Amino acid sequence: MDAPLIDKKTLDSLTGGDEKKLEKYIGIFSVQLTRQLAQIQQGIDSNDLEIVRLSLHTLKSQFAYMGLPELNKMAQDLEAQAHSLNPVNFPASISHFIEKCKEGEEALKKVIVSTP
Amino acid sequence: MAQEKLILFIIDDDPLQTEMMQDKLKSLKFLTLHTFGTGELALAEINKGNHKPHIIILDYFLNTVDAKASNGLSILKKLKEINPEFQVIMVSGQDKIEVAVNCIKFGAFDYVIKNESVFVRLEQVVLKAVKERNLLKENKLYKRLFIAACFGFISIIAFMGILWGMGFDLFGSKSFKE
Repeated sequence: MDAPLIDKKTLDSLTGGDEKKLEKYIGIFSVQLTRQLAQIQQGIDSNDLEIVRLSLHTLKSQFAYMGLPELNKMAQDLEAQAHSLNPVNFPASISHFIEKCKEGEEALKKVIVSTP
Repeated sequence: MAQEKLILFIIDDDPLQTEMMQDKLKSLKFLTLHTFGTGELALAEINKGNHKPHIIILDYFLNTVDAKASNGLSILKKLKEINPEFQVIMVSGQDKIEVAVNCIKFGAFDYVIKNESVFVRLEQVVLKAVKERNLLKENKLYKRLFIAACFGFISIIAFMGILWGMGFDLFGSKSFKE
């Protein structure tokens, strides 16, 4: 499976090329992502779609800031699905999303390592 | 003229977004920034009288951390009740036009959608708010000066009228009383 694409342009315009800033943002993002993914899983387990929707809403914006357009689009689509009363294959789509999120997080961490 | 120091509140429950906003707005040296995770915390700070904000950046959804926290729209209404002059900039991931229209209807200064350019846009809107604030201040000053000038002019005319009535020759010409 391919790791989500990172839009370096967005990241650079956000940090102005400041490596420390980038490290700080990725650190905060990682903590938030873990928290929100746990909430999403909890929402799925308890069939509380409102919790899932709120976490997807938060993550949607964070993906946009962190230069992860593919994950942003996925979160946006899933948020819309969570709005509907009976989303089709929702738990399976969420599992796939969580996996993609973790790959995205790893890819971001590699950006720090590869930054000269 | 030097820009006066202004207090800006950021009310947002997303730590990543708050950090990014602070970093972006730090470059505007005339701003003093204060951050709050919920609207209730910001309202408590205002009611205590510790800090009176001039500009407020307010997120639309504020209940991802504290489920009981009020949403941005109800905080906006409360802020406007306290002081209609607060310049409140709403921020949201909602791109529905009715959400934006509703916020403007309740007195928001502007509405900014959260996307990859949100921080650049926010800086522009904050600068627009400062400009409008300065213009309003100047307007008030000119209004006061105009009223003072009118009052002075009327006083002089009235005084001249009194002198004229007392028979003083104000313009060195022969009056009809002669």
